[in-house]
Amino acid sequence: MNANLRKFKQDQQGFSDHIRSAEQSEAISGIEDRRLNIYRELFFNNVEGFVSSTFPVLHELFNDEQWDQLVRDFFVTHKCETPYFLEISEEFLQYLEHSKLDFLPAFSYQLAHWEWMELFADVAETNDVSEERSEIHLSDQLTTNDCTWNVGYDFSVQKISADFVPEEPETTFLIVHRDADLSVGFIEINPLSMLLFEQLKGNETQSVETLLSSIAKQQGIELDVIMNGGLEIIRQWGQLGLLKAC
Amino acid sequence: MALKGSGLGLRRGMLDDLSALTSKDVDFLEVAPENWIGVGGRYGKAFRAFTERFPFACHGLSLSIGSSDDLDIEFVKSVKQFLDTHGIETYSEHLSYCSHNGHMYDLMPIPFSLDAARYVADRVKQVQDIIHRPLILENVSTYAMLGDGMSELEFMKEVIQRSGCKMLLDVNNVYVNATNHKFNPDEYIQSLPSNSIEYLHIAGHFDEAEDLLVDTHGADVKPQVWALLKLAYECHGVLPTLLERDFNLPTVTELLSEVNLIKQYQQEASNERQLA
Repeated sequence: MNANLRKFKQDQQGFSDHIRSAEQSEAISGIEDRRLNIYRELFFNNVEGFVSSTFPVLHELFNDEQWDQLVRDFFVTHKCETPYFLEISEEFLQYLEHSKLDFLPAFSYQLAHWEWMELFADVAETNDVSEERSEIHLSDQLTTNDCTWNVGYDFSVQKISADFVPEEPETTFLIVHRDADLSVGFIEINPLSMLLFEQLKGNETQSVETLLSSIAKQQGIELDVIMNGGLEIIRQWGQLGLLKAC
Repeated sequence: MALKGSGLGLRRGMLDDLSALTSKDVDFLEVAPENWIGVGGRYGKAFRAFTERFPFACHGLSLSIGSSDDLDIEFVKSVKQFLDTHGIETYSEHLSYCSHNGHMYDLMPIPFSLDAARYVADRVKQVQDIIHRPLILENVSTYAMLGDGMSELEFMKEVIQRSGCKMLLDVNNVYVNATNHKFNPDEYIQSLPSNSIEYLHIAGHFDEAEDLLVDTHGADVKPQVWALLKLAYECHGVLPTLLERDFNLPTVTELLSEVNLIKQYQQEASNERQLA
């Protein structure tokens, strides 16, 4: 790289450093501060807008000063790799997982992940479209369709708001689903149902009966109980459009 | 499909409001590919419905053609694929940079110099090789000038000449920069190479101070900027022109009435050219 391009690179380094953080970088000589301030504000406000629109619940848990500090720390310290605007929220998640800010509650990352899941489910490109299955037979070979996503958290993230901030962890399993009309919903399920869902998800050839029997065996629960309960749950999932033939 | 006539930027939040849009209202629409690549679900479906009904331009944001960072080749290939999937011919970007050791999602001023123009032109050629069409570069609003004193006009012309790229002439940005950096906007427009201009943008701006304007796309177009549009048509022909409105969104009716003004200016300019 010749001397002129080296200067070109240095100029960009200095300018971008200054936009990221005027405090932590050198002043730029020859440019009025009010002009630099336009850039500082435009850039920060743009990123803040993306973050607050994807994470409104997280936002409402903090006062203005804390939120500003959080978004600013992300803006200054996190190197964003994605050229896609809807993925800025993923970049923020990655930042949040390792953030050292001391006012962040223990559930912050998981809450943010839950909020991000809603966006993710809304825009995911999948080959499947949700279809209702009104009848389920024990001999059916079923799996979950591509518009369903199961997640587990240590906190009841779906309940968190400014009015409800959990003190204690509470293991929570949720299924996010995108319906035939392309709207996104979710259901809360118990650990056993989560296990069943995961079995179905990875299922390629087994019948409902076989799947339920192996769960009964694994978990040491009476076959009758699992058969009846399991079939009922699978029927509900069928009606919600979460399943498809293998 | 080649562009013609008057256009409107299509935003995700406006998809429902604009669902009744017809070709009587606008001739073409424009989106940033960075907001639509990889987007399925209800937005992807609605978008497809639009691309099947209207000619589209893609106006990118993340190419960062002026950056000292490496080009994101995978990204350029994704853009090419997106253009092909939706049958979109026109891909424009900004003569600017938006990344340095990471993406920053807004536009910074390239330090102008002959070497920088060469550097940018080389990158443009690389991109053109991938997208198999001329890249179209827009003059961006700037609030600071870096570099060795080369003017924006000289820099733009140098990049165009060296790379064979085209230009997206944003008449509001000409006005904003002419105010911010004290040059003559009429001369800027008159000095551009006609054959290189592919299409135009027009938008509103915010008056931060008498000598400092901010390109917000959040206000109605000012009379002085309409005058520059008229001048551009006189000098370079009646080119396809798009209205950019990103903030303080008015009603669809109000938006379309501004698009209609574009049509009126285009009609008047056509008439005048026929009489000449």
